[in-house]
Amino acid sequence: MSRHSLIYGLFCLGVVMLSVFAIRDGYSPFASAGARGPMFFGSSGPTHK
Amino acid sequence: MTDAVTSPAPPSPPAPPPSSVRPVNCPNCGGTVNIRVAGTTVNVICEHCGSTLDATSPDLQVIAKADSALRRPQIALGSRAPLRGTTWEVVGYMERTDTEVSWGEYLLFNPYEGYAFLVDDGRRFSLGRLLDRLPKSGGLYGLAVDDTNFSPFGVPYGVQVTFVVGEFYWRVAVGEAVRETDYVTPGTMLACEDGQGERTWTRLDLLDWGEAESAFGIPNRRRNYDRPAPHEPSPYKARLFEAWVIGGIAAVTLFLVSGMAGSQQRIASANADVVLDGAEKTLVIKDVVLPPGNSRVAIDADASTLDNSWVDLDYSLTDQKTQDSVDSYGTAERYSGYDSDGSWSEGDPRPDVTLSSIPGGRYDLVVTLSAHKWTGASSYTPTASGDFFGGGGGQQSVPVTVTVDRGGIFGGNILLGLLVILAWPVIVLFQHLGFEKRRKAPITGSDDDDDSGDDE
Repeated sequence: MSRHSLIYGLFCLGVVMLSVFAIRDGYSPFASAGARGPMFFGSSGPTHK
Repeated sequence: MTDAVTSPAPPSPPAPPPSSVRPVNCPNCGGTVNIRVAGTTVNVICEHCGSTLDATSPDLQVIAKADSALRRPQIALGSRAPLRGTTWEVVGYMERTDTEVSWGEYLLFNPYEGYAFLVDDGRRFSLGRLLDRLPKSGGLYGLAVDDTNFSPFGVPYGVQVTFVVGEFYWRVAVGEAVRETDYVTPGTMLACEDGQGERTWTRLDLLDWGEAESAFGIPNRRRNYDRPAPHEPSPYKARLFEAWVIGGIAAVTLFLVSGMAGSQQRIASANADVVLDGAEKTLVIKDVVLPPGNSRVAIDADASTLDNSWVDLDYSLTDQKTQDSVDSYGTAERYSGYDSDGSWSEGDPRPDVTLSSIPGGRYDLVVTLSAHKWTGASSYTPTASGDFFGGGGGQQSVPVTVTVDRGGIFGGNILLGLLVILAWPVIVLFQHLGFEKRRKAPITGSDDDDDSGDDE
């Protein structure tokens, strides 16, 4: 196994470990937390055409 | 434009030893010319003045005088070095070109093995041996030698000698031209040469980086893959295989870990009716209990009876003990209508929000709901009861169900993990494809040198 592959294997191990920790702690950078912005005026509507 | 090897078939290897050097004087310049393979050498090119001498004549007659300054090959004539288990002596050197690319060829001699060629394309060396048998047909349009299949590489092309020095077993001279056809397999080339009424086959094995340099004591070449030889194996192939194997194992592991994380568990639920264009309504779901540690919390709203209206939902998950709160919001909406293209609809009446890493404890979820009617609607679709939102003609209200779940996984995490894991195999794949493109450039017509390899 080449040096590149060894480093890549360790990198993958790190990614999997981070994923395990993220699953255990219910963490995600994509979570939708945060209050509505102050500039929100309560209007909406379709974007169709 | 490929590496090639010259010449008519050499004489059979002479009986071993005595390999003595016979010094003679060049009749043109008077310099000492060493004939290293006396008996089989027919041409000697004086290494002092470049004149071509007839080694078969006793007085070493001049066949042709040199008309240009003589260059010295990088590996000196007379050098000896072991290559692939055989000690070779450099007895001659010539340079050849196909008009686009030039390369050098050293003629090597060993009293037991006969002659061989050390081909130098400027980057790497290949060791060539003349075949003593004809190749057979093998593969698609290819040839086979010793159970190895060779694929045709490009079309036949002309090769000409541009410089020559040393001694040779045939009457080589500057301007000697042959027609060459190449067949390749990774690491080896089969070169067929037609010239002077005969055809020769040479097998060229690519030497490892630094192998010939170390053997002959010349500086190592810098590794680069800008212009690979036609028979040069991709340095990225093994790395690519390892990268996909490791990446595949990591991706499967990631899926297994995600599968073991478990599914969502419902921990609270409540309903509310919100009046369209009426006052905000606040719904409080008390005693939302999260276990110790951090949890993923998903809050779903269901307002599936919406039509051409929307509900703004503001959430505040407050810890009963610390009064710390996490805020979030969502919008349930549903619009539909008709236009020149027919009916259309859009909007999600069941929005969900997910909260990350919520500490364990007892919480209150405060939901503020505000429903609005879309005034731009050109039409609306009555509900199954025939009554719009069940409001009965007065105030129209929308039933909304809010549920709270904990656990589960974030799909975005898994997707991000996969992208990060697979990035390296994809990069190596492009490196490999780039190398193959440059290797085949002579036959595909492309000449892409902007992607050089690394020093692996």
